[in-house]
Amino acid sequence: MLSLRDVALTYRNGVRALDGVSLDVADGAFVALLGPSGCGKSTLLRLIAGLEKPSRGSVSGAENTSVGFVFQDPTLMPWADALTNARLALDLAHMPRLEADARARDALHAVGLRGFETALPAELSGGMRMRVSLARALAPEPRLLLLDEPFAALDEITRFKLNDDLRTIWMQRKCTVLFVTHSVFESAYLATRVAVMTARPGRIASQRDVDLPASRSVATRTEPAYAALARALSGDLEQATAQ
Amino acid sequence: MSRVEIIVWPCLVGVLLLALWEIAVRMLDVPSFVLPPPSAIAVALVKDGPSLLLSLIETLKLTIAAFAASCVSGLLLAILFTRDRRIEAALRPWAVVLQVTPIVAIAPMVVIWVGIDHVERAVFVLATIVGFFPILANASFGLRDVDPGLSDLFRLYRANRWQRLFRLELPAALPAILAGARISAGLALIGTVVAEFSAGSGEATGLAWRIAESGARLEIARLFAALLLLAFAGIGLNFLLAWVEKYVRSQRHLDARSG
Repeated sequence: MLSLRDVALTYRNGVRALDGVSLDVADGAFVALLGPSGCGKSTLLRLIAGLEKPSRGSVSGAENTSVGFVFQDPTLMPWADALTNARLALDLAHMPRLEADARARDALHAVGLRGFETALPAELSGGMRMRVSLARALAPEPRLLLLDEPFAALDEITRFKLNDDLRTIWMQRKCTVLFVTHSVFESAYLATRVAVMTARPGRIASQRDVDLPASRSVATRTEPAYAALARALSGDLEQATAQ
Repeated sequence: MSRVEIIVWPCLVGVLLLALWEIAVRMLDVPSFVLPPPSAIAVALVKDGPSLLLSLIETLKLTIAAFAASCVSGLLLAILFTRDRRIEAALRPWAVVLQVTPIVAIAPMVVIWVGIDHVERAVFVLATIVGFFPILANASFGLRDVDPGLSDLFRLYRANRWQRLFRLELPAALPAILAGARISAGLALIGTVVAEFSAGSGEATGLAWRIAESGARLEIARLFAALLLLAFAGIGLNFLLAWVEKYVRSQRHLDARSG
């Protein structure tokens, strides 16, 4: 279990990004972190990944776990093809080439990029680049997947498709997912639990379990329960930002 | 502007200027040891072409050797600079001293140190000094200009320093390094010719010596012919490296491919 206790982070320039964040994430959960822009959501993910150190408090449960990270931008190596990009973590871990190739190829297939192994990032659309980025995070089969508004820059059609694909991957791989978003609807659609954050300095204002059926589809988006949940989350968000 | 126009317009200007030159020299009766007409230069180019070409090859050999040495030393120094801010702080001023020192001023010393019996070694050293700075400047910029997200990923996956250098920093710096190489190649050519002039002794065989010789003999047409060859060599070198640079860029950004 991933556990954050009273975590605070103040940057060297004096900006207080987080103040008193406490959060528990059960193994295999899909938790969405919902909050306004600039509330420290990204900082929180970076803390969990070990890319930042907390000024106060503790983060436990992620130290010895394999972590996958997907950024807001695809951040691919522009000089390397999709397969090489997807293989990055495995290459850096000195995995033998044949095995690494096979696993990277599997990850590309899992995100729907069969046949694009040799394509360079410049030859791919924005959605496909994000898929490569997702495959790169999945290739080392992480136990914890951190996603930082990964689909925010994509068009709605692509975003919906990737939402479904991500749900499928999560259900197949049974990893823990922490998904940062500023979209009420995206968080409601994807997660098993939604944690709402306040404006900077960020803190968890409230949490809400998602009582929707495990299998979600286009139909989910028009269900009354989904609409009710989205309305409740909007209320939570409004309250959190008003504080 | 179309591809054809890019070639046609400068050529047209060139032809126009040459025609004006030819007419002016003939009408004003300028003596050919002051300014020969283009036609005389063309004749000299045909007559002395082969011997000038041999000298040019000598100069180009040294240029390429100096350019290669510039690339290697500039890149190694840039890698060293980017490992630790303190190393850079300690060494950068000295690199700048080397850059701003006029090569003509240090040529006599370098000749005494390495070139007493081998002028070409002195020329090589001097041209290398001239050529290495753009590589150093561009490479150290490029090695730092790494996508912060990728840098974080390498940290997340616990990449060691060699993996970071070879899999992230060097590939990311390649376009900047190539841009530096293009400047450096031109400077290496100029550096070689200037060094040949300054280090010049009887045994020098490069193009600079031909130019000096032509000037001394008032064979100005031959001097111009040598200059023309030098210009073509410079343009050729530049085009070659520009092509490499463009190819690398086109691999990374599709927009450059259609350009």
